Amino acid sequence: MSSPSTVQLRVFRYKPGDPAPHYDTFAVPVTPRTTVLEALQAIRRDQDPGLMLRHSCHHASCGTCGLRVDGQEVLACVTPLADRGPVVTVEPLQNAPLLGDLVVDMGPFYAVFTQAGMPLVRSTEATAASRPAVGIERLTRFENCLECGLCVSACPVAATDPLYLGPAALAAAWRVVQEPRGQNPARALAWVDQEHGCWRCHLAFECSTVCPNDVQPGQAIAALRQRLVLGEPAPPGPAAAATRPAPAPTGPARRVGLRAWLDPRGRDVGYWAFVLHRLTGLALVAYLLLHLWVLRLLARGPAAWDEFIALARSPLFLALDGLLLFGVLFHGLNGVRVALVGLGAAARRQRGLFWAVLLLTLLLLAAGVAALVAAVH
Amino acid sequence: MTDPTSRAKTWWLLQALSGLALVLLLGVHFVAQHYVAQGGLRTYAQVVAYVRHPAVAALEAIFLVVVAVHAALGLRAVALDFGLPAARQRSLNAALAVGVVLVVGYGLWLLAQVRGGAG
Amino acid sequence: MSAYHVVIIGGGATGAALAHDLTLRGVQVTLVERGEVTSGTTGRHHGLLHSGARYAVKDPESARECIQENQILRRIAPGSFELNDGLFVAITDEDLAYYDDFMEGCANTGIPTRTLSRDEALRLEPNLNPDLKLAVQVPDGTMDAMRLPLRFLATAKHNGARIHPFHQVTGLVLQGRTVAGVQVRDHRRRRDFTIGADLVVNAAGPWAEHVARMAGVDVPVVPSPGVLVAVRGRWTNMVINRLHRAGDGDIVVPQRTLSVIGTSSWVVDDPDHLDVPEEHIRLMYEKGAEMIPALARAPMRAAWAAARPLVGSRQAQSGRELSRTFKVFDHAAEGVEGFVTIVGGKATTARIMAEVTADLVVRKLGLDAPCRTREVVLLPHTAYYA
Repeated sequence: MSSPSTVQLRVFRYKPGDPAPHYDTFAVPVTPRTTVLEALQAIRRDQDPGLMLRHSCHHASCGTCGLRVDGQEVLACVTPLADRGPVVTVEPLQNAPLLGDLVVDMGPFYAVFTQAGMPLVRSTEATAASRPAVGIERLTRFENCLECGLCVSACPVAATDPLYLGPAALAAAWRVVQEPRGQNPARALAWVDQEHGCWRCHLAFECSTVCPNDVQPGQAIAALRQRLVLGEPAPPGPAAAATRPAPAPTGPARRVGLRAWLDPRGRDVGYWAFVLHRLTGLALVAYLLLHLWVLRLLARGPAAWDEFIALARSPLFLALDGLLLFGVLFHGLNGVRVALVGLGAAARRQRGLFWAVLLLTLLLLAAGVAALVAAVH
Repeated sequence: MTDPTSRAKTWWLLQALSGLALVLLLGVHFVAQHYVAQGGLRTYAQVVAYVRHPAVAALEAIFLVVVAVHAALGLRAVALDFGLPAARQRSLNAALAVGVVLVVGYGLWLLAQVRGGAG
Repeated sequence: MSAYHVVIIGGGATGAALAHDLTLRGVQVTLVERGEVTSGTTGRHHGLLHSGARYAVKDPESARECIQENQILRRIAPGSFELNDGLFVAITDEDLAYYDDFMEGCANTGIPTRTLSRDEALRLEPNLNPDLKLAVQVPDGTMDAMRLPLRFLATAKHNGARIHPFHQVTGLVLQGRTVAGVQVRDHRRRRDFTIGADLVVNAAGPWAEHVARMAGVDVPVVPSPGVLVAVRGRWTNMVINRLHRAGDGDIVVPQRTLSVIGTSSWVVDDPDHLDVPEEHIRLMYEKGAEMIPALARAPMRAAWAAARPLVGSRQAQSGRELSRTFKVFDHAAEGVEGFVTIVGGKATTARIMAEVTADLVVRKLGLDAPCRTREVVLLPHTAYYA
C-alpha cells in the first residue's frame, strides 16, 4: 500500500451572517486513490465538524457532491486528489444560492428543471443485444442526468442571466422530445422556444465539458434549435396547443455575473470562444460607430479626407488595423462556427472547429497584415 | 395561439443569416477598399470615383444595412444575456431599431454626399 | 395534525420512511440529520431493489420481508426503478449444488422464480460468462439509492413534517431517565438549541449505538462495512447474482451507464472510519468477472465503502453471519421512557421498518392511528426541493 502524502485543501467557508466568505486551509493525508470527497469527509471528521458538505452515493449516481475544484466543476466523489498541486482549492457550485460552506440550495435548479417534465426512467439503449426476460415488457434504465447542477454552474449565460432556463433543463426537454414516455413533446419544444430558453445559448459548451454523465447538454440545445428551425410540424389537436407555462420563480440566485467570464480556471476552448466572440462583437460595434464618424470627413472634402489618410498610414494606425483585422476575422469565422454548430450541424466537432477557426484567423491575419503593410508603403 | 416569445427563433435566425452574409459582404468590402486600391487607402478623388459605380454604391449600401442590423441584434442578445426580462424587450427593440435607422440613414446620406462630389 | 411531536434522529431511508409514516398518522415530525439526507449508509448502497432471493435459504425472515416490500415499493413509488428483473447464475458445479436449496427457499418465502437454461440466459444477457450452467430469474430491480428515500422525505415534508439536514444531535434532553427532546447543533447557523419531543426515535443506522449511549442505553448494532466498485458500462440490464450462499463480490447491479459490483464484509467500531482496501477492489473485479467476463477490463468509476447497520452481537467476526432483518427497541424496557431505536434492515425494507416502528410509537403515545404507507403513492423526489 502506498504511503500517504499530504495535500493542503483550501476550502471555501461561509455561514449566513458572515460579512464575506473566507478560505480555510486544511492539511489532509492522502493516498493515490483519495478522492476530494474522502478528504473533505476526513476534514469534517477530524478537524471541523461544522464543515457543510453534500454527498450520498459516492459513485457519481446521485449528483449531490458537485463542487468546484481548482475552479472546475466536478463530482467530488470521483475526483482524485492525486496529480494535482500541493494546494487544491475547493469551492461550491456557482449560479445557485449559497446555503453555507460547500452547500448550495438546489431549489431554484429544480424549480426550472421539473418544468421540462422528463421522467426519471427511460428505455435502455445499452447492451442492445439484450432481450427482456419473460414478464418484462421492455428494458429500462435511469436517465443519464444526475441533476448535479455542474452544467448550470459552468454556463457563462447562467452566470449573467437569472431567467435562463439553463443547460440541464434544456437537455431534459430534449430528452422529452426524443422519448416522450407519455409527456407532450410539443409542449416541451414550445417551452424552450423563448428568449431565455434555447436561444440564449451561445455554444460555449462548458456544460458538455463538465457534465459527469454524458448528457451533452450543449448538443441537446443545438438539437432543440435544429428541431425548431427545420423540425417536424406539431401534430394537430388539443394536445399540441403550446401554452406558455408560468415563469420560473427566481430566488436570490447568487449569479456570479461577469466575473465568471474572467475566471480562467478549468475552462475548455468553447468557453473562450464564447468570451472572445462577445468581446470582439462589442468592440466591432464600437468600431462601426467610430468608422462611420471618421467617414464624415469625406463630406468635408478632399483636404480633410486626404489629411486623415496620411494619418492612417502611421504605424500606430496600422497596428490598430491589425487588431481590428483579428477581431473581424475571429468574430466572422467563429460566427460561422456558431451558426453551424448552433443548428446542430457538427455539434460534436465544436472543439475541433474552434481550433480551425483560430488557425484560419491567425493565417489570414498574418497574410492580411503583410499585404496591408506592403500596400501602404 | 401564437406565443410572442417564439419570435426568439426568428431573431436568432436573422442574426445567424446576417452574420453569414457579412462574412461575404465584409470580405468584399475589405478587399475592395484596402487591397484593390493603389496604396491601400484611397484619396478623396479615388473614393469619389469608386463609389460613383452603381454596383459599388449598391453593395456598400447593402453592407451598411446588414452590418447595422447584425450589430443591433448582437447588442440585443447581450442585453438578454444579462437577464433583460420580456417586459423590457419591446423598449429595447424600439431603441435599437431607432439606432439602426439613424446609422443607416447617416451612412446613406454620406454615400449620396460623396457621390455628388460634395466638399 | 395531532398535538404529539416526535423527533427522528437520522435522515437515511429508515428515518425518511418513518417521517412519512408518522406524518400520515397525524403526528408532527421533526427529522434531524447531521449531514445531507441519505449521506450515511443509505445513499451508498448498490441500489438493489431486493427480491430477497439472496436470503431465501439462510435468512427466510429477511427474504420474506424483502419480496413483500419489493412489491409494495413498485406500487407506491412508480417510475423510480430500473425494472428488468435479476438472474442468479450458477457458474461452477458447487453453485449448481446449491440450486435445490435455493429453489426451495424461494418457494417457501414467496419469491417467484423461473429457471433458465444456459442458452436462454445468454440470449437474455449475452455478456454473461458463457460457462454458466443455468440461471434463475427473480424479481430484482435497481433503485436510485438516494432518490427513492427522497420521495418519502418529499411526501412527509409536503404533509407537514420538518426536515432539518446539517443538524447534528449532540445530546439528548433528559428529565430523570425520560428522554424529552434532543440537543442539536445547527451547522449552518452555528447555533445550539434544543427541540422538545414527546418521543425520540433513534434511526441513526450504524451510528445508532453512538446515539443510544446519549440516553444511557445500549443497542446491539454492528457497523459492518463492505466495499463496492462501480465500473463504466452497462454490461447487463438484469441484476446478476451468483447462485451460492452469500459471499463477497457476488452481485452486479446495473445503474444508468454503470455496473456496480458488490460487496465484501468486515466489522468496525467507528462507521466514520471506513477504509477501501485495495485487495477488496481487486476481489470485486475478480468475482464480478466470474459472472460477467467483460468486467475484468472495464474502467473503474469509483470504489467506496458503506457500513451496514447490522443487528447482532459484538462478537461478530465478519458480519456475514448476522441476520439482515431489523429490530425495534423500546428502551422503556431498560427504564428509559420516550426513546425508541430502530436498527438493521435493508434499503428495500425501509417502509416496513418504519411501519413497525411507527406502530410502537403511536401505541406509546396512546394514539389510534393505523399505517397507511402501503397505499399512499409517494411524491416525486424533485418535490423534496420545492
